[in-house]
Amino acid sequence: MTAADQTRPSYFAADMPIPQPDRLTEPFWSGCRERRLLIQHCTVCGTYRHLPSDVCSNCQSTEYDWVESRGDGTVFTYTIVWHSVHSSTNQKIPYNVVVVQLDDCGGVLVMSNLVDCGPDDVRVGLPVELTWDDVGDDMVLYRFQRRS
Amino acid sequence: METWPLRDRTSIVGVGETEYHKAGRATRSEFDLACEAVRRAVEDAGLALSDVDGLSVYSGERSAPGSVAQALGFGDLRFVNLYPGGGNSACGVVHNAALAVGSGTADVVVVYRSICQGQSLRFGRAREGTGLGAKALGRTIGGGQAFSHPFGLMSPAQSYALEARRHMYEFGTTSEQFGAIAVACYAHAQRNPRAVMYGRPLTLEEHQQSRVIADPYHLYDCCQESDGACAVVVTTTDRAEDLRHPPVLIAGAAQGLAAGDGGDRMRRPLDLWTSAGLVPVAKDLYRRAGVGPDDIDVVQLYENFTGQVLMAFEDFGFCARGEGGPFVSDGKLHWPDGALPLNTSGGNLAEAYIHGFNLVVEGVRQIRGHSTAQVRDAEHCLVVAGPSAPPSSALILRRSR
Repeated sequence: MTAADQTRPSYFAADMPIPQPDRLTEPFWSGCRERRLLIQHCTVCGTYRHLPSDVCSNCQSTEYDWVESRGDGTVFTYTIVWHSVHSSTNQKIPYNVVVVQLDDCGGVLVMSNLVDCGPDDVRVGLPVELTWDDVGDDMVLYRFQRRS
Repeated sequence: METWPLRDRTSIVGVGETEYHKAGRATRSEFDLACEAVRRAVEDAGLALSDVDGLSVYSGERSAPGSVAQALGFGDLRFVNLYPGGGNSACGVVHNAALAVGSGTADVVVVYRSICQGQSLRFGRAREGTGLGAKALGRTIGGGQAFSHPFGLMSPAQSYALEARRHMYEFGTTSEQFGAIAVACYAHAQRNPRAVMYGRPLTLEEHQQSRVIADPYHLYDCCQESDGACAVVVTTTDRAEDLRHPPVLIAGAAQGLAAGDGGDRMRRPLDLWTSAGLVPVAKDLYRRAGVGPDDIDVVQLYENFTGQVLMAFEDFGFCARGEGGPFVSDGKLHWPDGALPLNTSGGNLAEAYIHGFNLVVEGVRQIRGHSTAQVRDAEHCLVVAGPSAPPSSALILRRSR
């Protein structure tokens, strides 16, 4: 972590596991390090998909590229977690987990958190926008906040 | 469409169970319990261990088929089969056993599940991987879980709460309606001395006041974590006629998943967020058994979480899509007066969480007439494996005439 990061701690505690990129997901996580939310896009039929997959479910092509989302969307569903199941969330409860439907990129669903919402502020249909969270170890994660 | 060639041709002829405990309370090993459950099931059938020539288990079964066969001195095995997954397998393993004996591949197939969450990783804690590959969470997380764990979504309750919340949003379903399911299961467990929650009745008020685990799910919306094992024996109905108990006919069996559903549930079609994903399984099942929802006398329906039970009632055509809330909350799930008693042993919520396989055992008891909450003249029992956990499975058990 740099000194600048420490002025704004990560959403969860430092022992929260961070993503381990693999052959398939490396471009996605590299995009995150550059604060770009990349969605996998079939170059044959144009279907977007998230989570990443080797094969397009629509046309079975294995050809794809990555398209940057603006990161605007709406809350499709959510939960408020009150019972911690890992040390990294012990001090964070109650916290929210949201599923956001993106406005672009075919309306794919992305799982994340609303960083500016307490347990009573989250609702389905809430318009949200992207924000970034430097979680250390050379990883930056996409999170969301209410859209004005 | 042609009649399913296996309708009523195979039967469950034996059941066996160990004691059931809260996770961590078993004093014997998981493998020991697996062997005991299998032994008891074979004995209950009136067969010898050497008669067993097939095994069908969940892919996450730690008491491996080869180890159980060796320990129990089975004869030559002709059929060994795994159904992929966890609670979704509860009926698929029986279906596969029926396919084996119905096709003449094997004569006597034993199906078992042993699970001691006190001796391995608890399902309710954060884990890396699933099934036999699950391990404690480390500093990094790969694969699909990299898209959920770092955002604090680390347990089944949290994951299934997302679907429950969406159902509430779309259809106005309430937490009290989820609670009605838990209250029914707990009420039935009060009649079952073997149930972990025997002697611990639950009111809707207590459900509502219980702590929230992952909103909208309270503590009592969630299945238990347990130690125990159970088993059943499947053979042909012809052979069953000569055995100890009247055969419990496998009228129909079905397994699978809805188009577009599968391993990555973030990519499932949006309408499957408010379904148990069992619509095609239900359709196949009813057609194979030659019955419909109105013919079902009693239901054993896998409770991972109450909202998924509610959605499964919709998928199985007991009520229209979106109407599961009013359907479950008018008392019909309660033995003895309700029209459709649910989980008459207490189920995963209140009997024990033997990964839903105890629901199959209770289905057999209902058809035999031996349940502690016996539905009078029960002719058809529907058993449904893990809802919203594709590929899942279901059975219709029928009394032989």
